[in-house]
Amino acid sequence: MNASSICNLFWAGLLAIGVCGGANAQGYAGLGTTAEGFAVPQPNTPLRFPQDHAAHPEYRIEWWYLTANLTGVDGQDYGIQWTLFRSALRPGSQDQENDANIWSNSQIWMGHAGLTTAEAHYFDERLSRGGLGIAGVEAAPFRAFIDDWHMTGTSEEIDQIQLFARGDAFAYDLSLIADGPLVLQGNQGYSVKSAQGQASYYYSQPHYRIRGTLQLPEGPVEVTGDGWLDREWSSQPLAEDQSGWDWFSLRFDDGTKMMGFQLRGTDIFTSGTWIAADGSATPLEPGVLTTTALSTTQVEGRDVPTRWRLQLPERDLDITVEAMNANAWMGASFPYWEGPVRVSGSATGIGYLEMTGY
Amino acid sequence: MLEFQDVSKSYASPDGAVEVLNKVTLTVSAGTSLALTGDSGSGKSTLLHLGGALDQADSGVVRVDGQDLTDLDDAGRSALRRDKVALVFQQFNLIPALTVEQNINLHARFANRADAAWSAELAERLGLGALTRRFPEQLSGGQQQRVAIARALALRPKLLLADEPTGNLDEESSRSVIELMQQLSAETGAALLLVTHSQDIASQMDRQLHLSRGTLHPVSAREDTTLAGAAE
Amino acid sequence: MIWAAFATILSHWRRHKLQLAMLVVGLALATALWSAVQAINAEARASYAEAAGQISPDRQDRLVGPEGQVTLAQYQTLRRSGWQVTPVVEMTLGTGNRQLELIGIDVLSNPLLADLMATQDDADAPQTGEPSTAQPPTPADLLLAPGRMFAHPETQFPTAPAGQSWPPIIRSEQVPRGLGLADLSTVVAMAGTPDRFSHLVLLPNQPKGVPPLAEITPELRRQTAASGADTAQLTESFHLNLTAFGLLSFAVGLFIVQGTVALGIEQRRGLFRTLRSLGIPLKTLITIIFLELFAITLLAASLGLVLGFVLAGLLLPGVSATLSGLYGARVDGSLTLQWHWVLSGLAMAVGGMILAGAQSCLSIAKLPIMAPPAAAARGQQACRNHRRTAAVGALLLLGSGILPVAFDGLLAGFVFVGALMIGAALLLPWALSHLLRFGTQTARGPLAQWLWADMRAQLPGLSLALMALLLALATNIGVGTMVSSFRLTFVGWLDQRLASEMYLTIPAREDPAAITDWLTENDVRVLPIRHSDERYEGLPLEVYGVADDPTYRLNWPLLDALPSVWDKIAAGDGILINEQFARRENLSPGDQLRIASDWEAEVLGIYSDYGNPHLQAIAGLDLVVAKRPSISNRRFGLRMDETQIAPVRQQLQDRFDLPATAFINQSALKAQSLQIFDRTFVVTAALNLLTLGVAGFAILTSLLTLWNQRLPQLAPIWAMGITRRQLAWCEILRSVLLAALTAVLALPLGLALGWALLAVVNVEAFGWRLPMALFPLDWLRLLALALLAAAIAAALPARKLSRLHPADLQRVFSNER
Repeated sequence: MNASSICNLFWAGLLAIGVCGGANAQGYAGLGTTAEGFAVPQPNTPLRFPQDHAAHPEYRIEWWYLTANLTGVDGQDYGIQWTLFRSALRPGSQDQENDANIWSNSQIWMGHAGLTTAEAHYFDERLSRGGLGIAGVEAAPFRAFIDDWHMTGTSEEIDQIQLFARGDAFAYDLSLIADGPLVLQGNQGYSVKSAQGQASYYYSQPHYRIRGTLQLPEGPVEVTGDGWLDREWSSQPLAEDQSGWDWFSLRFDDGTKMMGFQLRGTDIFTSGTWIAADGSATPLEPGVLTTTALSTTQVEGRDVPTRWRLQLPERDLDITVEAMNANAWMGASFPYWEGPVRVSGSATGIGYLEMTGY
Repeated sequence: MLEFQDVSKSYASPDGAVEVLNKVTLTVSAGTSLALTGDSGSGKSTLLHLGGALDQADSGVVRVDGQDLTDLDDAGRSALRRDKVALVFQQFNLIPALTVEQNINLHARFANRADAAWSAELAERLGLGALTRRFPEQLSGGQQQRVAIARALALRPKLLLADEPTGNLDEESSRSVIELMQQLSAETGAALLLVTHSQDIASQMDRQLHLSRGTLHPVSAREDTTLAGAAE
Repeated sequence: MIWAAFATILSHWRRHKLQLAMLVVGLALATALWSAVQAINAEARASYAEAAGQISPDRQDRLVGPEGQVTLAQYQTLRRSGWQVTPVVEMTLGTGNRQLELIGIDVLSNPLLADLMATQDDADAPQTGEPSTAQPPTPADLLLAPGRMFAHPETQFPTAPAGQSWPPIIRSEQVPRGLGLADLSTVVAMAGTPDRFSHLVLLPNQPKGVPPLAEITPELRRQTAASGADTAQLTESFHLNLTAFGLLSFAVGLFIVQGTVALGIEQRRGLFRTLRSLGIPLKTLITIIFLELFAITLLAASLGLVLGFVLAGLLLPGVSATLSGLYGARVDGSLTLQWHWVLSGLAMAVGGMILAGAQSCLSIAKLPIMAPPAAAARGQQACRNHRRTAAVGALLLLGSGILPVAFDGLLAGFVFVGALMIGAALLLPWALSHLLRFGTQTARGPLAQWLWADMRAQLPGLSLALMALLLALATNIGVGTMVSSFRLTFVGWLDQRLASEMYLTIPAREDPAAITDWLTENDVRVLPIRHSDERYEGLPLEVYGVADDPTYRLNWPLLDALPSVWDKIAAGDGILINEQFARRENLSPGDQLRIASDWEAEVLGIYSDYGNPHLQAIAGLDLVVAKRPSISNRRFGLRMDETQIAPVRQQLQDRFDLPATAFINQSALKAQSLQIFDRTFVVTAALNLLTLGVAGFAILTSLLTLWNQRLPQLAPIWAMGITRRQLAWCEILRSVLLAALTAVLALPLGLALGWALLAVVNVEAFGWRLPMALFPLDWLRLLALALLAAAIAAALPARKLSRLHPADLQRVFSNER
């Protein structure tokens, strides 16, 4: 799922830049390590807004994760990703508040930006530690940023935001306006990730309407489309045996939406949320969603499933999800697959797919 | 055993080619001896070298033990020398770093038929019995030449060629060395061809031929080749 | 048969043990000389290769601040505007060989660490007694106190600053020696300045459309990356010098190998002939000869390699001191056995053996078995050979004469030197033969006449050894001329360059103005030494600003300049550049030069700047300050009366509490510079002496191997009433005379070599040309040394001769027909 994937990614990123060697011993990218000293998500804890839009440094990992399916005035389909990860190297209580050495800050921030077309996939990455004024999340107005990449609200709320990122080959500058309510995933925002009870706090804003400009090597393109923000934080989101996940956010043509994920461990754990056209959300019981990889594509030397069959009998759903560009590989410090998809079958639509651990 | 048929040989010199041998024909049979006399530069040594497969004729046929030498390459000629032909030189040509005994055995060992008993007998009969552990430089000239003769005969050669073998020896030693050589070669059935400028020594051989201006002449009673002391 | 024949051939050595020893030792010495040079080269190159494989903190463009610092605020501004930069803090701790360069990087954004870890094997655990980690570090390990520090396994750590301790050390071959690399959090904790960086590294991929640097941080200056070529180029040139030596020692070695092998074969001609007459085929004989030579060569080469290894071990510390002193290149001072120089040593010995053996065997194959040519015929043949080798030599000399005219470049320089040396060596026997003939004709007494004639007769046997001597002497003269010229020029240049009586560096805490005011009041002329570090095409370029002062007008060593150059400099109308710069860019006075992106100037003159590996320029102080207002002003040259130096210094120290390190006396600076210079050529001098020694040994070998041939030639003279004692002295005289004649011929050759090294090789390698200075006293000393070597070489045979029993001489007659 998005949350855990991100966490994994972050950890894996640090792995990849060589900072930690053998973390794979405990779950994917060390996410299975114990949360000792960190706060742990508890069920039946109501989320509070706008406070929960900001960072939760007492938890080990957290992210602001936005994906969008866009259409250009040129008629082409595009996908973009904007993510800010936060990871704490040690429980915040051990941070000495008045340490003169600002470099010993234990909060690490990582930004990922991606832009996918039918033919090409661009991405870039930013890293910084906290406390330097280079990366972080500010409250009033809401602003998540790293370097010049930012997701900025007009107020403390996130229903109207400006999104910006640029790499050496691409850039985007988008205005997002939500036309629906926040969706609390799982049990009122408490999202279980394994049969052993690993969980995270997880809410989404899947109702963004987007307008803006993409900068491509070929030149600028005006685009419109739909965006989906995931907010998630936790301290131990994965069970030790879980090695990766496949996460879907789908937008059907009839206005309904679905978030679904599977965590691949000794057993497959699936879960998700059904979102009606009016924004009301219903959690999917673990196991009711079945996912089947139909075909794989070789990307960067790995076999990645880029065509899926998803079945949700309780909603008479039997669809095929196919990558718009099979090569949407995020070859950042840590590698994963993240890209726009098209839906066909009993329902049609578009969405985003994230796959880790391949 | 040794046959020359119309053998000619010439050398290049600053004044043009010099013909050393001109259609020479001769035969030395097994067990017999032949003395070859002639003036300095008359071609005696050349003839001997041709017979010993050390050099090649320009024309004509040289045969040793029926083998035509003109057919042979260096390896073949070397093999022939190794197995059948023994040479005795004026300068002895002993190996200074080997003992008398090792020197005597050397040629036979090259031919893979060293016979210790025969070598010992030869050493004894040539008066070298007490000297076998010595090195050549510890011997007198006569003794060294006896070692060279012993080395030649230890091979039991088919053909024994001797080039002024007594050139470095006094008269007394010369006589005994020549006698021994002739006696032993007759015993082993070797054909002996001896080049000398000494009429005295030549007369000890079964036959004599005189080489002059590249051709052979039978030796008459009045011999004018006694130019003792002429150096080759 | 083959083994019997082999044993017979080998039996020769049983009776000639000394000769065998000579052959083996000669070969071993030649191999040792060659392989020592190779070993030094290989070792140094391996060190560079290792350095090249290591992380290099200098390979990216950087942003530097006016006072050598960048602030946290500037870093934030750049990052928040999109620029991909990463901060670096550098500091130096400790002194001497315990000096440690500490580099703090942001491990999150600096790719250095990724480079470092990419090749890091999880399994290679650290090993020393200091605090270390056996496990690969986690992000928290690196980022949070106490942190981790990466260092080369051989880097020594000084004592940590008071009240602090070193973090656990992670040893890695990837880190250059003498450097500690850690996350900023760790280094900043030691430096105590979290908001100040030494510079920012500009990462290679910058996003599109970020605002220009000049708009957001106008006070920072961008420096292009060190291309990495500067050090490489310079060390390369040093090694070219070594390689030149290697080639010369190879040539000398080859002559020796060839000589000893040829003599060993020549001596046994009779033996080979006898074996042929006993039925050993030619092919078998040649095979056996090569087998024997191969066995001997292998033995000798192994000895030589051991010797060479020891020799290289003795010389290497000098080399590494030179390289680190002159160029800052670090070479490990210890020697490891490397297969390629072992192979090259073996190849050189075996190659020389095959060359010599083939030549000898060819002559054996050509000679009729039973026609020992008379001595006269041999003599004639030798003469013909002289003429033939002389013709080849003359051709080579001719070719070498054309080379420098026709071709450019270092390689041409070396080919020129090679052709010159070999050509001259090949001409030597012919030249000596004519000299000796002349000597024979002009000799008066019969003994003298015999001596000259005898020398000429001995020439074929000695010519190879004499060629080796010629090469050794010429190398000595040539390299000596180069080094001495170099030194003379350098000393003169130092005198010009270091004109101020004292140099003062004012510590950061002091106010320079207060001190300079005081100095001026006390009649001391204060010359500010201010410079700006620029980058010219990736190479470091120092631009100095000089005050208008007679010190410069009178002393500065200008090679070429426009008229009234100092007035123009003072007026800011242009710049002076050093010779290296001028040669590199092919500039002459009057040319325009862009020394930085924002700074174009006319070249007014060129000055010599020996020993400086970097480009340098000089401009008027006002101009430099106008262009680079922020350069520091803390170094000064002080002009004063000689007698004032000590009191002024004392008063400065008392009044301003300046540390002793703030002062540098001119004399101390000169001494230090010369010391560095001399160290450079310690190795050269050692190799020089060794080459000469080996050549002397070659003469000894030749004389000894000629010994047996000598008796028949000496016996008649003895019989005519010359005593053995006289003959012995004649032997020594002969050797000394031949050496002297060779030395006379070596002088012009050596000077030619010296010229080539100074005018061709040096210009190509170092970028400056030196005037050639002649040192006749050195030549005399060398001549004496050569004569001494020749006398010593002849002493042994002479002694043998004087003690020879008359019976041995008599036997010559009894054995002769």
